[in-house]
Amino acid sequence: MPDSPNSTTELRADSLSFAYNDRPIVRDFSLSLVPGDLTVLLGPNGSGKSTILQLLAGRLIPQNGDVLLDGAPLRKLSGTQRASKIAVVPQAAPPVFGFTVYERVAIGRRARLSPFTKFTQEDERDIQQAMQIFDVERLAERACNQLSGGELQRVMLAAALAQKPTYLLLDEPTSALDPSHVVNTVKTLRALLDHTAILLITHDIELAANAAKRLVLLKDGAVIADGPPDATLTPENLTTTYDCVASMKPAVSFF
Amino acid sequence: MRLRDIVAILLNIALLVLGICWGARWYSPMAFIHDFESLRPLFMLRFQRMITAITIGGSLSLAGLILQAVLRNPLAEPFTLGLSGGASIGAALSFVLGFYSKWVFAVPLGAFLGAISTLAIVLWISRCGRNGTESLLLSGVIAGTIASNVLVQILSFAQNEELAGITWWTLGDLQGTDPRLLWPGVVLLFIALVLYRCMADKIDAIALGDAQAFYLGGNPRKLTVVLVASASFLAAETVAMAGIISFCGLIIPHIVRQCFGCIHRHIVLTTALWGGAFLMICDILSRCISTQHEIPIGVMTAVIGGPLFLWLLNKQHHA
Repeated sequence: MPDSPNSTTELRADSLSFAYNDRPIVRDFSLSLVPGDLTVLLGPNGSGKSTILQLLAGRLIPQNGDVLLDGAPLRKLSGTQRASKIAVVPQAAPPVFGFTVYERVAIGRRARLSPFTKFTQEDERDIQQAMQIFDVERLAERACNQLSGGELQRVMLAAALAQKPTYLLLDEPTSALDPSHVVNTVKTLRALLDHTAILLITHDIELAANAAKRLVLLKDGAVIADGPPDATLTPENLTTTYDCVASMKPAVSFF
Repeated sequence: MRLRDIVAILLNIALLVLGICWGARWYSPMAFIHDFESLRPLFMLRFQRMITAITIGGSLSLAGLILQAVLRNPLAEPFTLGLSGGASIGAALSFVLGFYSKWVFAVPLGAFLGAISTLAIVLWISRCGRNGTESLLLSGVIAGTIASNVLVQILSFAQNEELAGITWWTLGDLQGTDPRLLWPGVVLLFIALVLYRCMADKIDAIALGDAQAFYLGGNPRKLTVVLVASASFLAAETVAMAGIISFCGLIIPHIVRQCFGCIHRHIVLTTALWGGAFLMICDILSRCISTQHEIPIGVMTAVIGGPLFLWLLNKQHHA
């Protein structure tokens, strides 16, 4: 579904620092996302994960460092340019108004279109396909403010997919999903990697271990470890990150 | 154009004809055709009144639709932000200070200035875009309460004949609309329709929240200012034309969303048309219930709109 990448396709964060009221949240953080990457940010509450996502999406402006989208400073691009490349799934909150599931997914698609453009057959096909992939097609006429948390998360994932992004930034997109839909979501995300770069924030260490190609452990806005899951998810790193003793016991897994 | 909008246009035309024929005395359409010259003054009077109803109903409904989307609150309308209160102070001052007798546009100008000043104060208090929707609404409620008390104080300064006019106007009155204010109001409504249709996708996005609006390519702060300011102009224009008319801006967007969905590119025109039809129905009823004493349209919209809104809320609660 997404566009083919070109040689300059990269979402790059260079030495980002960000503070709220002089309280440092992100310290000297760098990251490069190119299609094929599935990077997971893992860390305790308040470690700066969501702030990094907002910096990469352009919603927050770093006090130091810069974010470059395909070589251009993100803060200098128009909203439409930004939205045609980057889709974000924030933590799920039901909308106040009763947008149907189809309408909500279609709003994601409209971010790419001019005000008077009607949907083409390709647009409609992509919307239907996005709803099918995340198993919300049968909910198409239901109001989003009457869905369960898990259903709403799948709708928001479908809306982001319909936006046809090159960069997909996901903030805890599976926190309310059952294991079956978590596994399906990971499979879907992996299937997108040919044309898409994905940044995933989660608290689910098992999900991170199985989904990530690259894993970044964060604590107090600083990177504790960065690399493939096998190298980063060690008891020592996890103990340092979470301030509690971690061990690698075998456990039930759906992956 | 969608079928529902064609139906709404036909309904508006039917109500326009009904409103011209029906009043203290009934004249059939054929009577107007056969004896137009002698009935011309009555025709013009009723025609202008119906166009005023369409314009004000459409403007208030659109303003309500936009404010509800931006504030993400189905209970928001021009009055929730205290805009009508501010506009009524500006307009009442232009009456009391005698500006209106010298220049007719002193009333809408006073209403605009009142609404803009109130908006500036409300935005300043709530620091729009930083402290969020709740503080904006709360600031609006406080501003509206202060405005209503100031209006009472202004009324106490008015002369007897002014007092009657202003009191009637505060209840909502289509009868006394100055024809020189009507056509600028029609033009303003048309401009608002085009603006909101062009911005419809951005309005959908901001209705999902500031974060979603940004991620979908918008600038939430700029969108909020443009949409709230333009809706305030619409509200101020209606106050200058016909005083304070409640519930129209609250109930029509609510009904339209329930019937036709929430996508703004589909419901901007529909909302304006249904708002016009609603206010024409209220006006026809206000003229026909009592031929001796006409009921102010603001009272009629409250009497019809209040229970209807409670019923809709109850229905939604049980859905």
